[in-house]
Amino acid sequence: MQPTIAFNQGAAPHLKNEISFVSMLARQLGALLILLLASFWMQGLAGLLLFAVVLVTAFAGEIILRFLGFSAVPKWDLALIHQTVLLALFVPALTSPALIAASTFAMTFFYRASGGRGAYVLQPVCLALAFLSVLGVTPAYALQGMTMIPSAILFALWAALRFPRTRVEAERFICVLILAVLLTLLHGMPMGPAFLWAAAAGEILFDYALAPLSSAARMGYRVFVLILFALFLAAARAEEALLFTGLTAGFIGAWIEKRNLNGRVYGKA
Amino acid sequence: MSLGTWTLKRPAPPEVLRVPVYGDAPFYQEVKVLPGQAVSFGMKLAEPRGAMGVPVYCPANGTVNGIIKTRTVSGENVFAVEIQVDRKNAGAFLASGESSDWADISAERLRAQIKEKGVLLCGRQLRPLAGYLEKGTFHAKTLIINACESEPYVTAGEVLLLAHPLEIIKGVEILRRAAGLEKALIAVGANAEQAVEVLKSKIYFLKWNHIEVRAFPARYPQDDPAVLLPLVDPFFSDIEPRVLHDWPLPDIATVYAAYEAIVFGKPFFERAVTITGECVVQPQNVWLPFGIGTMDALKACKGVLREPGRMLAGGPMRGIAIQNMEQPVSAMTDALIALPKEWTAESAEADCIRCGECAEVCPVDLSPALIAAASKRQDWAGARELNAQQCLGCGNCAYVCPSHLPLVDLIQKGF
Ligand code: SF4
Ligand code: SF4
Repeated sequence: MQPTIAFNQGAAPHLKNEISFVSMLARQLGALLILLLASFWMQGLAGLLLFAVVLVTAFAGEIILRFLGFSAVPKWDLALIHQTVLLALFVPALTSPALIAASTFAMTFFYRASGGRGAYVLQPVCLALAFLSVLGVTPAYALQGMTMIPSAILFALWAALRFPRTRVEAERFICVLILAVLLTLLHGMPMGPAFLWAAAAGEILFDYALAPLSSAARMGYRVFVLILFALFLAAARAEEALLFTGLTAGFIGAWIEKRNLNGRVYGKA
Repeated sequence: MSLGTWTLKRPAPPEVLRVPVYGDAPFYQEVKVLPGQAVSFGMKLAEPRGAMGVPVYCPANGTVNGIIKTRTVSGENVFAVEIQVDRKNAGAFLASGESSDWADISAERLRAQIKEKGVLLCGRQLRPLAGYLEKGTFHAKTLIINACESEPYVTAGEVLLLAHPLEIIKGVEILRRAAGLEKALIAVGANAEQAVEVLKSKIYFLKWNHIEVRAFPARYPQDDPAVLLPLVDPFFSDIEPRVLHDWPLPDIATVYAAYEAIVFGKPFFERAVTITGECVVQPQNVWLPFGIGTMDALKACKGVLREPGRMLAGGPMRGIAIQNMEQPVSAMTDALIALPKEWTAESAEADCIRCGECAEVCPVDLSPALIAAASKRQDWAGARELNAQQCLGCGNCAYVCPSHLPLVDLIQKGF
């Protein structure tokens, strides 16, 4: 048979991708549901109330972004729901609704303004916190045993593996380093190295062990991290550290995004 | 997908060939044949004009129908010599014994012969290979050969490597000498382990230690110089991706053509092309003469099983949808792919959901979502600010986008 080719239009790439809008959204909403159930289970109605606060502040952030002309999306759309899902990742320890509103607002602002790339910076931070939560209910005490040496080795390994790759990686590395120093200043000695240890472990795990996996497996991994987060919320004992970390990381993420993540910046510092 | 056999076949002579006269004729080439004139296999159809021209050779016996203006399957607007092929006596190139005296020929003479045989540097833009060897920019006195496969589905380079490893090594040596360089590096995708092993063993056998074979991560778009060169040498990391993107690097098709031109005196009138896709009856790599139409090329693979959803020249990520089955194959064409409808991307565009997937897969760390949004708002200054001009057009972002946004189109509008 010979083709008739009365068909041929379309721009590259020509291959259909397997990820659909609905499946992506469903997976994220599914993950959110786990988080929501976890907060309900632990906090009762207060958990749901906090979720409502997140939602409202996300909308408020969006309105202000549009007002300031930062929003990339010209009309109201499903992006907002999706964004709320992502923001749920950053809901800090369940303390006061005012703090949550403040942090959610900050996240909305920076995350939206950074075109999604902020999450890339936030990811190691979330991972680090999740790891800390698994390793010990209260990171500052449970991680006493983790002295400087293994932390330093792991962090050096991470740095050696990542640092030369791109400027983006380098800045991300510096961002985590600054956080570690600040955490140490706020919470005493074990906190900084423990944070670095967890960040390095999370990064190595994500990039070197999980990166080659299928997108479904990676998504599964993200859901797993969300569950860890829910457990962390249940612990609710490192509130300030978490809130502070989330805000700082959001800010630094947005700042890096604005400055350098718009492509490798060559020859322009 | 099978690589087919390592012996590359040639299709039956087609009725008509539309041989592209490269460059912007009549500036670079001067067509030397007239409508109605009988032409024979291996005869010059066009003579070069100036440094940017190369002679164009006739791939079959026949009669000139006319000089037409056309668009090749790979998207170049060219003049072409349309030839009515004498199918009973189309002619073929018969290689007489291998000549090994190239080892004693000077670099100038090697380049002159490469130019005389019309060999082009195949790749994103066609240019005369001899000119590149004479005036190209080479880092660290090393000739870098891009042997990484360009896209999923495309295996022409790898099959040529496996079928003719010794010839490829000799071709690399010829190019190295013609360029007057000290070393050569063959960059191969890490997924082509067999090719790496075979090449290394041949180099060991020839004791040509100045030729190195190195495997690089097989992650699309590994063949793009903007991705490949920074891995070859950190020196390239400080050069803008867009500049590297257009950095000329000879590929395997070029190396093999140079080898044949020097060793057998063969003119450059055909190249190895992958014909594949789920709709093709017998996917394989074949030699296709320049100027053959897609329909005739497909006959070498027994046609198609069913109507394709899209017929492509090049790979599924950066290839071009073929508009008409008579468009000629050119030296730029490394694949013809018949994709089934169910695998073909449709433009069912939704809103951006800020998932960040596009940013994660961009090989040059752009924020495709933001650039696309700027482009939609016709904020060209904003798009440039976001470095839209550094986009390699690899299509990774559009491929992973769950909202199926036409990101490549939008980004490329932005610069
Ligand atoms: S096509 Fe998309 S992924 Fe590829 S370089 Fe351009 S922006 Fe990046
Ligand atoms: S992949 Fe598509 S939906 Fe996701 S952020 Fe990029 S443009 Fe938006």
